[in-house]
Amino acid sequence: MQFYDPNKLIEDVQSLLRSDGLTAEITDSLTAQIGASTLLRGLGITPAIDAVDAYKRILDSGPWPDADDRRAARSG
Amino acid sequence: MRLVHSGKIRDLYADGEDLILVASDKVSVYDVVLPTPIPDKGKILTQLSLWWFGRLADIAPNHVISATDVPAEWAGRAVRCRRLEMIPVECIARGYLAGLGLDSYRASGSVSGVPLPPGLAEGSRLPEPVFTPSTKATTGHDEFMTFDDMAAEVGTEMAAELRRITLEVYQRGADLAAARGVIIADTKLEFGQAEDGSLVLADEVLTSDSSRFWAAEDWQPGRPQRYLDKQFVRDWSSTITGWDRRPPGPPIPEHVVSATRARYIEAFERITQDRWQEVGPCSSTTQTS
Repeated sequence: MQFYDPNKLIEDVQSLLRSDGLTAEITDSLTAQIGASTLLRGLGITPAIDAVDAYKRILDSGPWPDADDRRAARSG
Repeated sequence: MRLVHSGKIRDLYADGEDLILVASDKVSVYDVVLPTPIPDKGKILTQLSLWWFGRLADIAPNHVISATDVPAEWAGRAVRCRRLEMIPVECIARGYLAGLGLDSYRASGSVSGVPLPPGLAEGSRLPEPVFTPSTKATTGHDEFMTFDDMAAEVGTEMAAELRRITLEVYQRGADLAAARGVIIADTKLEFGQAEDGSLVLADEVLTSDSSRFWAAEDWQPGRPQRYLDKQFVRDWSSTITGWDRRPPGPPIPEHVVSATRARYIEAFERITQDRWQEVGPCSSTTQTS
């Protein structure tokens, strides 16, 4: 199987678009992520995150209940 | 053995193709890691996770290669794991209203697009557990996504499979724990894919660092719930004047450390029905995939 990180694809596309003079800022991360994953799947590539990258993020986030409370505080 | 990353509570090492997750004794309160460790916390949560992996192996294979083939200095608190391609979605199951789930319910009456009945309060038990995935974006904030969003991201079949496994893992864990006086209010699972595309349960599972553990005897909807294991630290920290709940956190007094350690052990013993001393640091009951 082929895998590629949708977040990396977003960065790749941003870079490409910026080289064409576009701003390409993320205004809707969910839409961007779904779009990147959909593109990958359409190309026969499975959207996935390398384990090391994923664990870096998980470990930096700390205990999940803390992270969930943090998100609640931010949205509230 | 190479240190790849040091996180808030755990570290990640690489050993050839394998990864090794190493839990520390650090504890956090209100999202701040405190400078005083809780002795054996890393071992207790690691052993609990391994215990659960063994009891969930018929629902989903897991990433554990070995809990003993690790350097002696990490014995009991490290897990050698398979390096997987990780699913770009956090899989969360909620059986009670708390945290972001509560916030979302108050704002919209639903969580991740799943409508809930009116009149629920903080800590209320939901009519049935709900699957509330969230994004794993590298920029911006993680946010709830609906099942349809998730299906668009990873495909309908895989989304359905992740939802099924997540709810099954949660239900089994919650039922077992409830019978032993522990409410597992919610939990977050991580999944990866093996080379053949099969789904594999990764990271830690059903620990109090990946779930909310409440003492069943203290449960009372309509107020903040008391955590089973680190409530002593939370209570103590709330009495400190002059700390704004931002890093650096204050050192924990010895009596709070020992009481908290006892509660972590109590949680372990309640759930596993096994004495902590008898489990020992290296004698896991892990079933690997």
